[in-house]
Amino acid sequence: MHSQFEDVWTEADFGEPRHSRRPPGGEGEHEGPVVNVAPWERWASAAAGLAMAVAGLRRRGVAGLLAAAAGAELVRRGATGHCRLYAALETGTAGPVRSPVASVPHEQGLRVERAVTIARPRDELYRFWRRLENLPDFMEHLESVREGAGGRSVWVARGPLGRRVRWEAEIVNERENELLAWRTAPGSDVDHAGSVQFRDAPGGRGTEVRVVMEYRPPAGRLGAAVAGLAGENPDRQVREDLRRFKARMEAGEIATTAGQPSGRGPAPPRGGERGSAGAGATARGGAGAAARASADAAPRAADDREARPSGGAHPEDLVDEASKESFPASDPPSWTAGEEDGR
Amino acid sequence: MRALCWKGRNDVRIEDVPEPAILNPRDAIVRVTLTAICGSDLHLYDGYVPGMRSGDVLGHEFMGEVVEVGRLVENLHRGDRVIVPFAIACGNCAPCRRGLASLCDNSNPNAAAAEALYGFSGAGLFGYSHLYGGYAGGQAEYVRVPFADVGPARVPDGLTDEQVLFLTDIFPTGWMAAENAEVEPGDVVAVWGCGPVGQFAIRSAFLLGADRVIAVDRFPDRLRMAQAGGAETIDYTAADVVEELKSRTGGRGPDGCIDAVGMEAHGTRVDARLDRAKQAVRLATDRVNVLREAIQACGKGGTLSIAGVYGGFLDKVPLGSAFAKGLTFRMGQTHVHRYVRPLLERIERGEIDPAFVITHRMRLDEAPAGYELFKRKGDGCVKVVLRP
Repeated sequence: MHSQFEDVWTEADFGEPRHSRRPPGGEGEHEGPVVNVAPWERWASAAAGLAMAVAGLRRRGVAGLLAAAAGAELVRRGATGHCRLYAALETGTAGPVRSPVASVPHEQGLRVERAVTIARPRDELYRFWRRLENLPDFMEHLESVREGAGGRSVWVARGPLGRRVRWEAEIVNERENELLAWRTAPGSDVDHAGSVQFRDAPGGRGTEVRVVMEYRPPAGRLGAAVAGLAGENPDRQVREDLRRFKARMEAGEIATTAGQPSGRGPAPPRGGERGSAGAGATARGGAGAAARASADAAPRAADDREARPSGGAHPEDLVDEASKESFPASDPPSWTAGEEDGR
Repeated sequence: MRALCWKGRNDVRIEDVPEPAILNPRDAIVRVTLTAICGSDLHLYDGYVPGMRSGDVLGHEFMGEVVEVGRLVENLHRGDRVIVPFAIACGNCAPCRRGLASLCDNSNPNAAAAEALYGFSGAGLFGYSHLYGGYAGGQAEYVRVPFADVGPARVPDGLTDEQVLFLTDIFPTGWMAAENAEVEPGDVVAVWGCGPVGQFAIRSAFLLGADRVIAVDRFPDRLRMAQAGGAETIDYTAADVVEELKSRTGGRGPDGCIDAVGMEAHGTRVDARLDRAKQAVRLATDRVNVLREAIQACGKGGTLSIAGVYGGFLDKVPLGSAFAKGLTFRMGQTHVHRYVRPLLERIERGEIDPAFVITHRMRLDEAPAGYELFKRKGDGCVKVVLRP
């Protein structure tokens, strides 16, 4: 099971990548050498190679030519990500992750890994997640998931500017109460793969849930939409989704302040439906609906930002922003001018 | 409805805001009948707590009448008279199951922000910055109470609002401070700060069997209130607290020390002045002199209990002294939920009447003046309660 799982994800790719992983020409279409050089090393290799080639060509002579050729090889190595020396030695710096939780080839995109402990039994969590229709309950960007036949499912997500992104995914590995791995179907506009692993936490502490997600850096016509899908920061998105999953499973609901009152919106009409204190409280049939209506008014829209990270305002940003409001650096504390006593 | 809104440092105002609505199935709406200004509200007022936004509704000590409940709240009904713990807890997560309500995993929608600052996030709190969830607070006519099926506690008709209001925060906080000081019969306990929490810590220490309590402050009326609770007192402006405590305990030092002051400590020593200067120019987040003094004063093998709020990175904490004496440190936001019922029973039995701490009664509309009075400690102010 393990090796089969790894094979699926180390051999399969996300469709044809933009930076072709096959060196141009040379090896055959179907057996192109794999990338075995890490991205940073590819850049370094290409840059060093270019410098070497330029220097070599300037020098002229045999030594210069040799240097230029070596430089050219380094550039090729950087551009293709394939190092012949590494291949001969059966090593490399871009090797796939040999971990049961890895669902996507290492260094092939934006990789995110997050874990959370949930005080619920493993099988319960697995069952909830396995019913993919449930995912939008806690995955902020998802609008719906519809399961079809043969492990296939159709996902609809909210992208930026209210655009909807839609793709097909397939389950590529599944071990009951332990692991679920999926990826976008070949030919989808969205390149995305993920896995979730469920493991008993020690001492009856519930279940450790570990998610690994990988997104191909977006480009093309859907680039912007995909960026929104992944969150501008996928790590943050996965972390928040897992937090929401935990809350959903433990508490049955996800804490929010979206829609609560604050002194930021325009002032409401005087004499709210509950009346001034005491008056409306004892006989307030249907006040709930009225309250909702009132909270639905303009201030709610303003306050929505408070708890909806998808709106672009993430908690950290809000707190940063708020800290600036409450911590004006140029503004010394009040007691510096005339404190209550001389202490 | 009318609500007290934070508008900036030293600027709170009564404003008209929309009334709260049920947002989640476990919510309830409570019509506030009595609320209070807490010492920790002054940290917000003074601008020392990060993550405040102009327009935030303050207040985390409040009680009232249930006027609406969410679909999943079965144990509360319209018309119930309840006190509401200041910490919001789901009751389901691992910390909640261990009774650590103020460490609830699931009640802070902005947990990521707190994690960035502290590594992990505590529970959401009413009216206490966006770091703690940004929940609208209870210095208002109505409040939305999340997880209302586990937080609010019904109170018996025989007790007045003023007798039970402080079950929301300062009584359990003073109690937990004493419990954290591991008070045992025969102990001598020192309490720094004779504000409301200090006052409850003094009385709680006695209820837990302390032989003597020595209270430290500088305001004569607060020291008198401490004496009324049975404590001996030290005016720190007139004595070297460490030496005085040593002398009064036969050279042993107190068995338990309670810091009921926190990040905005005052002091007369040079380190207190330095802390103050550093905090003024934002070189330091907290003023640490009370904590330093408590560590220095605590007897060998003693326990230091921190009830006062600290927010950041503390300079020059004499950990060497704590290590040399084998001290135990215990601290944290109060796990209100687990204290409400036992303390309510003590009130019913007449062991304590928490209303003793109230010095000022105002209307909610007068709250801004109440903040100023409490901050300046004018007119013998120890505790302000507000009636909407």
